Amino acid sequence: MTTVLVCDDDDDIRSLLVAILGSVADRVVETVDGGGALRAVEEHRPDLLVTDRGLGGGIDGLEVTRRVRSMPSPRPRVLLLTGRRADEDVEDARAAGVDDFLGKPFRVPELMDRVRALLEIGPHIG
Amino acid sequence: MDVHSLITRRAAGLSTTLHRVVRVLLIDDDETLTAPLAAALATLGHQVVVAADGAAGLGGAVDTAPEVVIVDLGLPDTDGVDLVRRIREASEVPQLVLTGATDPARRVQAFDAGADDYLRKPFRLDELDARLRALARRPGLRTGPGLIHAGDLAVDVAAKRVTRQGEEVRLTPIEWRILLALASAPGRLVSHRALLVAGWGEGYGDRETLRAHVRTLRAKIGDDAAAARYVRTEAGLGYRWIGGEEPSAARDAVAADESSAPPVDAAHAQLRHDLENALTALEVSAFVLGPAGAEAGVSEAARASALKRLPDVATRVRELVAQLLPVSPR
Repeated sequence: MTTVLVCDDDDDIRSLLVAILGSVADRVVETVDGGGALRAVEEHRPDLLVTDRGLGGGIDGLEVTRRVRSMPSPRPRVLLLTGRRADEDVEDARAAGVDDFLGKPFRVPELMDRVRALLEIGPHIG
Repeated sequence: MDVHSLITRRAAGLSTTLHRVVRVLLIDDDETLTAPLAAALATLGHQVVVAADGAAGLGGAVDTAPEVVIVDLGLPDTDGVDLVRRIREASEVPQLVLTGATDPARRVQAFDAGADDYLRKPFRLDELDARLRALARRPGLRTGPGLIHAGDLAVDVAAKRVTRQGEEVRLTPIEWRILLALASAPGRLVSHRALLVAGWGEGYGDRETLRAHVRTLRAKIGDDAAAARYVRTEAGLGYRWIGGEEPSAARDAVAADESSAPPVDAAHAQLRHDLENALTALEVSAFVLGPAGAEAGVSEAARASALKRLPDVATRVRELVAQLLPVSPR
């Protein structure tokens, strides 16, 4: 059973992401901030975390990624949604351990393609 | 001009001073795509040469010294995958392929042939822009005859010997073949299939085994998947040799490049962020409510919820556009 965790503090985007990702994953869990995302990763052990970069509550998407990367295996893949696309932002995302990224606003088929690819490869093991 | 185009142009204007210029060769026969795309990329500051067919593209990949080649896989007169392969045989230039309908097999073929990244049409200009800049920034290797240096590593191809900080690294034959396949293609994505063929031969091995060998190889050469210096995982696709890249040094170089750029107004940046979110909500709403959403299996409850939210989503966009593009007094 595949599980996707969606983390975005924008209510419209989060609810829409949950709606569309429900068609490619068996289960979709949602959370609004970084702290909630970390708790949800431990509780639900998702295969994939789709997170916005800018989150309220003091823990942004990159910090969530760093902390998830230090959790015990299996660790979810991370797809970062971000409007910040300067070179150093992409570099920061890679350095934090993000598996893939997509700029906002994105095309839904592009998002679905990348979500399917990350679910296909499965979580980080080892 | 529609609002979306206007916003894109506005964003592009803002971005011009911040973005690295990339020399791009665009290989596509469809003038209705190439003309506006070349113009839009030029607006972002990139230098674009257009080749209308495979033969011109192959020549251009060598003659015009592009930093990135964009290949439309749907060329009518040339097999796009074959063109990617022929360009790869002639040049190490990064290649980004544009794909049409969902066709994972075709995409995998393109990666096996030497493509480095992909985008599905229709794509967003800023998505293409970011990927072009990322591809153009791939690190190079310092190479000598049969010798590859990267970070702390030295790979002597002829002697089949690897040293790390002068100390010999003992690799199994399979690890050696995987390392060689990756390090021989700096900056390029090497697909799972290509690595399986390199390590085990056609028809042998599987991804899980490959993953285990890459993990061991990383440990031996002092690499960390979470903060890769040599082998970067490209989720679902394969691995990429990034050859001892020092992220902080790369950032410094970028910062130096951009040191003369004017600071972006904080309020404007916030407005852009809010607008990107609002447009994302609008884009996803359109998908959920349209035939594609039903086809993708979005539930009726989710569609009803999206429909209920739609007026608010549209209002968000309208208000933000009004702030970003105030109406001029007549």
